[in-house]
Amino acid sequence: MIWTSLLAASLSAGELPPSPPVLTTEAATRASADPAATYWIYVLAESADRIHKIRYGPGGAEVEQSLPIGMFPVMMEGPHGIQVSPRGDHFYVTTGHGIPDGKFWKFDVQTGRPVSDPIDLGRFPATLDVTPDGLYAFVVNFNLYGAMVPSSVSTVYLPTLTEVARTETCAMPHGSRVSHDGLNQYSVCMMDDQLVELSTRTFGVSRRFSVVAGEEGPVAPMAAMEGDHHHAHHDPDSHADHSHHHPTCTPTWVDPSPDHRHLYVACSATDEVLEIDREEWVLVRRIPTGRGPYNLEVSPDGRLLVVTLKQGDGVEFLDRATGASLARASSTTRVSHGVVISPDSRYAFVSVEGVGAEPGKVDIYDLDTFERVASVAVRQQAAGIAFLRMEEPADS
Amino acid sequence: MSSHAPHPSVGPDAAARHAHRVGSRRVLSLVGGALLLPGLLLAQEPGVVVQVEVEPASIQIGAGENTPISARALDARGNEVSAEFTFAAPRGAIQIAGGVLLAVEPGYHEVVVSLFPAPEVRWEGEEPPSTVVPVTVGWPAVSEVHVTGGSALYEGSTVRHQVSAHHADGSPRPRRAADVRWSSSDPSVATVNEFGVVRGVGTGTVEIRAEVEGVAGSVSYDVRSFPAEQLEISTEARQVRTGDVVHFQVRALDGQGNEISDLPITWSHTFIAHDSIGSHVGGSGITRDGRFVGEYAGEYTILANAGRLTATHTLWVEHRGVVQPVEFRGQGRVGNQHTSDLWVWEGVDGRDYAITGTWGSGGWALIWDVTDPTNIVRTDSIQVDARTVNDVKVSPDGRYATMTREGASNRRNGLVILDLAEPAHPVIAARFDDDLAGGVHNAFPTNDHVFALSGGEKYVIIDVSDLYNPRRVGEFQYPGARIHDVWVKDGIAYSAQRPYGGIIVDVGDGRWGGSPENPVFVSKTGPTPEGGGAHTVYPYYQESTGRMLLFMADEILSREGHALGEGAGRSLVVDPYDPETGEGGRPSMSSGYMHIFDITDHENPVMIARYHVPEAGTHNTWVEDDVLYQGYWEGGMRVVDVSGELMGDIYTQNREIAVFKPFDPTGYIANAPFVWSAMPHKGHIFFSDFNSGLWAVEVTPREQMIP
Repeated sequence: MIWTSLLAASLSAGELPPSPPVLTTEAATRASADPAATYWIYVLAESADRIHKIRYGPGGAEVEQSLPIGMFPVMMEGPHGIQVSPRGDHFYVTTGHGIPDGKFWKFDVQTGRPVSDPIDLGRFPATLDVTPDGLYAFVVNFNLYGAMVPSSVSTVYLPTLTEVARTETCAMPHGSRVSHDGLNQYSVCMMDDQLVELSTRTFGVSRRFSVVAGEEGPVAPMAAMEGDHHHAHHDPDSHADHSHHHPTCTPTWVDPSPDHRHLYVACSATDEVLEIDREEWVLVRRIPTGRGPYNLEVSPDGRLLVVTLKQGDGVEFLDRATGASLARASSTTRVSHGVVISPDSRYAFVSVEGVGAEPGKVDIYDLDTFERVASVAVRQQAAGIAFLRMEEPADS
Repeated sequence: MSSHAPHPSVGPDAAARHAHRVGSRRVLSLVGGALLLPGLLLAQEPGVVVQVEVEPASIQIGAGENTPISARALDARGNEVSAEFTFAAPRGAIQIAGGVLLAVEPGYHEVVVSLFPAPEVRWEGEEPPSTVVPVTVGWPAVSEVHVTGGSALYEGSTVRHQVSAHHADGSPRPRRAADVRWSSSDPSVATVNEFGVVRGVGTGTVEIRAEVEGVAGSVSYDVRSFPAEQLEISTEARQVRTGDVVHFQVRALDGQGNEISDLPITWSHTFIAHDSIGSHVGGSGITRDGRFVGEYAGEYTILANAGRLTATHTLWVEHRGVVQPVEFRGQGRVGNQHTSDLWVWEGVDGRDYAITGTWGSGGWALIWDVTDPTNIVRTDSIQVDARTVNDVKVSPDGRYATMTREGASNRRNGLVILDLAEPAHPVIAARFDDDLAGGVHNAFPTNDHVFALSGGEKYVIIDVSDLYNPRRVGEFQYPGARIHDVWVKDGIAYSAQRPYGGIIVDVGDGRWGGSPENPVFVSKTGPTPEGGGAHTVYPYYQESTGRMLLFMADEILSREGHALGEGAGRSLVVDPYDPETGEGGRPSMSSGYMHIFDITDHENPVMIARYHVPEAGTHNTWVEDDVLYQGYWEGGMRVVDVSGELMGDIYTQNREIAVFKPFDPTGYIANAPFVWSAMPHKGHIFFSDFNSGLWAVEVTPREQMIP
């Protein structure tokens, strides 16, 4: 009960608890020269039901737009996953806390408003990704409710916002990513120590890969069907006591490389990233990281792996070619979450959740110097993050 | 028209041509440094797909049936191109696998068949070509039709009939989807109209048929000549107020003075307002069993009709006259964050306390000494890992309190149990999140057990005889659950399950064999009229009538479809006003109302009344001594007389005793009443307001005019 010792607190009778942050626009801190280009990202505040659009460019970083999301103003609906359509005209958001099903939303980038009512998906729909043709979204139904039973990946046909498939994969699927060639969707199973590949044509499971420490390799379809799961009844996404849990991967994220050759899996419990050959379906190497790798992204130029360290409260920059750690930086607040990299591979935008009433943060890192160049405060529990667009300077 | 080929098989540089991720997006790629734009050059090329053709092009099929479906890709010359496809159809309605379409849900659906963008495939246009296949799924055939009506039909009398149709699997055909044709075997004996209202017009035998898609059900009557010569109506009610339910007795007598027990009776009334305006419609009507309730003061004439006979009884209905002053006594102001739930109790030290939660903040619960409601003093504050402490409650014996957590930093939400041995300064006894990680929206503590909601799915039952070592002993999940609240009284758990209404479960009463370890389903109320809103339940034994009632409140935090609020009915921003941006500071709006069920027979709940304030929505509920204390969001804290038999909309019956709206200019959102919960305690009413904290008011006696 680390939390109790950290935060169980009381105030003297006359002292009111601190107010929650109320942010509209907030100046960012800047540590180096502003970029010439301008970048826009979205970040979700999971415990404030907000979508923030952040601009980073000449003049620094700021919250440019703050949008509410949800159906009920006095219920916390928990926006968690976000992705922008390939054309950049829409973005999609999942809200995890439903009664009990979570929802999938489609927003118009221009107006910042939902284009229609959301649709229900499964229990706690979390991370999502969109196929390159813009037709389908694949959403993991994380299902952190109750017993660790196999959950699913929902396929949503985006033009009509229709759930067309809900494919059972494993317990606590997380980290939905579609390969750059659009042929497959990948997610990992936090409680089953697996990487699962779906066909984006049939929406069915095509392959499984065990990431159990020391036993990495393909999972025979029959073994998966027979429920060869490792149902550890604890939450690796937490700061909870891990002492009773067999130290295995507990994967939290997967990202395919832009060259289609590799998949990178964050093992949150063993503090490493696994590199898996996508074609051969074998483990290539282990890349050690700091404490609790959570989300990661390969830079579009293929040079870097940027990994958020959830328990380590920081971010790590890895050389993809050598696996060497190039730098490790502390986040500006606690609980590092997601990362997205600009298309020119110049900047990494990292969401950091914060705790309790603390504001969430988006820390921005220069990928040449690995220094934090800006930080923007957002509402509570900054979580899902997605790149919207960039603009080169007019004279470039 | 443009085309592109986002795959490595087309063009000189496969890698560069590929669609690739840009940040989290994917964009079309560069080819040799130039954007690969229009595919006009490609469009006419052999092998470039311009069309997807599906066989069949449209489908009409019955639910449960299947049919082959296939697609092929064609180039501009009409030649088939080797390709694969995705089939997108609403998964609950249509399932497609292995080239076979299975129809599941009746209705109109569409299947979008799109070219799958495999690497070797080229196509015209930005998106892969696709074709929409309309699919009409018919209902399964009706196999049975049932007609219900009256026990007898006489010449000149009328009886309304109802029809139900079922499929072979026993599932019912919705009334809206059933085209019913009524007919009479002999219209000279009885006629029937399109609503199933049958009127005897002659004598003899007659069959009344209802036909649905060729399947018929019927009832038969031996229509006899009208036997009654006299109709009498009576009631024991003398002094009647608005809201009082008056029971009428009717007797039909033949020429010899014999009573005819099966004569169909229809009821109606007329009304003259006491101020003679005469414009009110008045009254919520009379049910078939002869009950009447008046909504307005005035003169009502009740009419019982059978054939050519009509009996009347005139009543004078007085204004209920229950309004009392409500006076402010004190406030525990919380102006820097939102306040959620509250509970008031007498502590083991004999003083009175309240606990309030906070919402969208740092996970605080506040403890107040309310012994003197005019001087509310905050004695302590407790913080847990959460952003919202949505629900707070105290066990009946005052031994412990529960705080529910949402927005924990590690997403392991759950329940926190407070030891109230020193009520002014509670301490955390235990933190329980086994099976509760998804978030606990509400919980209900009894002396020995806590019933804690788990993520909208179920409630988990926790033995708390040892506060410091809570132990999970059971759970209950209704199939397809949508649970929002649970309340336990005398061994029966009542839960509000949104679209399903209230669910009644034996968790220790024992009549149905239930226990905390083995909860047993008893019954359900069914959906509320506007559907989807059942939020709170409050079981109440009404001593004056011997009835068990279930108050079930909606929670609808929008006013979509209402003239007040349409277009701005859902204000999701609950922030204070920001003078820099001009945003925030706006009150929220709600709708929904209270549904009241008679559950004296727990196995057969019957909806009997409603409490519906038209321009606001219900939230939490308390009933004590025949008085309802209702948190009615922007409608304030409302006190309502629920004594006696209830029928109709009690809002329109002058049953409201008092309304208090907590305006606070220094509130988190200024002057924006939004009442979460209300609770009476030792002569005062305490309530929590979302924007301004804890309030104490008192309903005072009405001053008598001294002549």
